[in-house]
Amino acid sequence: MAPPRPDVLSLSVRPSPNGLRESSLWLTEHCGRQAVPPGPTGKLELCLNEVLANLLEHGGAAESDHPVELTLELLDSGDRGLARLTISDAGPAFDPLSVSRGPLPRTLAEAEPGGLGLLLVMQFMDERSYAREGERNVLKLGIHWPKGP
Amino acid sequence: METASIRSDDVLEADGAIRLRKVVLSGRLDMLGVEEIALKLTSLTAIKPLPVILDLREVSFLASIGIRSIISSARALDQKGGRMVILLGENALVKATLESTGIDDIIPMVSDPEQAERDALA
Repeated sequence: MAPPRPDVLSLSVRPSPNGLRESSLWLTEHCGRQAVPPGPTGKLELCLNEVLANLLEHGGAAESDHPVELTLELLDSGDRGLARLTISDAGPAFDPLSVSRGPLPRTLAEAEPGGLGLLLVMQFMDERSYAREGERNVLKLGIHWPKGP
Repeated sequence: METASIRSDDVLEADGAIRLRKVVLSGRLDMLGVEEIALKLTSLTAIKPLPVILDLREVSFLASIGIRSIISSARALDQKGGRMVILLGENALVKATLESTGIDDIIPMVSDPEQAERDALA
């Protein structure tokens, strides 16, 4: 049997607040055209936004002349769909998946608002991996969904 | 792409005092959206010790920067002696986002508008 054929799309985006919106629009339009359900699309869009916001706020990407490279693959394996997003940047080496966060707050007074974005990535994504490839950070995120009859 | 907006409506007592404040957020609460609403959200929720319903039913996208803004306002309101309740309706993605970050454990969240009023005034 032939392997499932991925549908692949790429985008180069500047790490900026407007770049975040541009990337959201790119992702949601493409997922919509390929009939990815709203739930997985919304979670993937949110995690893309969080990773790019993290690069903008902490990763040095804002100072970089190099855009962030995005690749979206949509795969159909029969009984389930898979969307896999690759986010590659030329900032200093940093594995966001290695960051540990303390326990969730029990009261408002304890609430420490930082680190929520990466927590969402850990909660919502079915696949997560990081690698340093040459001079680039390469983060891969994936989400599955069951396909109807 | 849609942007964010904020509006409010006060329920008054017979003597004109504010009994309950309803603050409605709508649109995208990403980096750009939060810039547009953050100051007004603080001024509406964190100045007076009021019961506040924060209505997120019309929010289409809630990023962590939006959650941080909500936490900051709720904490300031709490320190003033007020109380915030989040109204979600059937907004599934926003509900999942808040639950995944544990916010539902520190700020009451409800689906029903009448329940939100009862909880805010409790």
